[in-house]
Amino acid sequence: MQEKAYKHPYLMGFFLGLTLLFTFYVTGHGLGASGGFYRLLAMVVHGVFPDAAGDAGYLSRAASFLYRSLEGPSPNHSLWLIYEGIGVMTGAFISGLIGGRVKWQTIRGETATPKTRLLFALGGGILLGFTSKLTLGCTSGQGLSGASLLSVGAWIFLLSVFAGGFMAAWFVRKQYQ
Amino acid sequence: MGPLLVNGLIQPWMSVILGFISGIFFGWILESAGLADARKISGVFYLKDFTVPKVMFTAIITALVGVYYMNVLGLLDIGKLEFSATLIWPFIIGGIVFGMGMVTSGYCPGTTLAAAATGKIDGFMVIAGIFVGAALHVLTRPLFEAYVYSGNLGFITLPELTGIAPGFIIAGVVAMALGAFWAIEIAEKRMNPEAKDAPQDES
Repeated sequence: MQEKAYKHPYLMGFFLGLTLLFTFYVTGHGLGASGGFYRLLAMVVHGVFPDAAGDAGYLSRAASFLYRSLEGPSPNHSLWLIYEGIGVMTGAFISGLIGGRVKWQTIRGETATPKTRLLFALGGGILLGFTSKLTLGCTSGQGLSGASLLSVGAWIFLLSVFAGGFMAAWFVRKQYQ
Repeated sequence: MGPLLVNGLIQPWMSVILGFISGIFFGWILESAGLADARKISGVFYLKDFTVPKVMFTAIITALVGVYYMNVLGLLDIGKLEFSATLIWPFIIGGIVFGMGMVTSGYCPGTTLAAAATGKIDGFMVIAGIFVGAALHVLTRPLFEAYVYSGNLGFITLPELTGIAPGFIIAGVVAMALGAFWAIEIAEKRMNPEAKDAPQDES
């Protein structure tokens, strides 16, 4: 099937703003993504080691930090981000099907090997997973949602993200060439 | 009056379903704009593709103005909307490393879900990496827990920090975003004079 052109970025940005507004209106919080990964991890670890957060030992302290992400105002609140993540995958899949863009592939530059690209993807993913808890959210939950509420930290975060991206770009350029 | 969930106007289980619906819109929009492709996302850091700032800042100013007017009209209580505290050093250092992770992986945690859903194997690798990174964070957390809350300014907004009325700040943010879009459009025309207005699929 022929791949269709992408939709106009400003129009998509406007629709994303409306989606965010709808989310604020209904739930009182914005969109997010990284929180869903942490909650899913917490659910799995909690399922395997339900009593891990018992004492003052090192691993116990780590576990109690992880399990805190399951608390939230209500059990549903904790699940929210996971359902939203499933929704993101569903919506992207539908849009991809309509646009004829669903296919198995490794996005990479013309001269880069899939192996190089996948190693960069894994390494970059580790950085994203480690830092998004430090910044209390990722580009969606901290950046997009926080900036829309004029949170000082969200703007500091967004500026830092762009700064970090430009700083590292030259060093990881091979995978895209 | 919103937010519906916080004001007890809908049941918590309904918010979970609405989370799924919000996610569908979110994923649909990201994929339609081309943000399920690592080249388009990383492109901003090589000054080749400006889809990320265009989508992101249009969304921010739309939601910003929307929240402000819904609050003025009494439809949405802005005081009940949730955002995080500002932790200066973790946000600066964490943000910089996050940005490095973004250009290295080609995605962020939301867009990589959209990438994986459309069959990108690199998207699945980033998802695996995020879980590894999250686990590493949890396992090393007790070592730096004491430093995480350094420079904690609490729940603070730009109008509160500067003492400038929200309306002026919002007008300033909108003006800066529109100025940036104008500059991007001029730069894109210079870089690629024969390109048409409609975004072209590169692949």
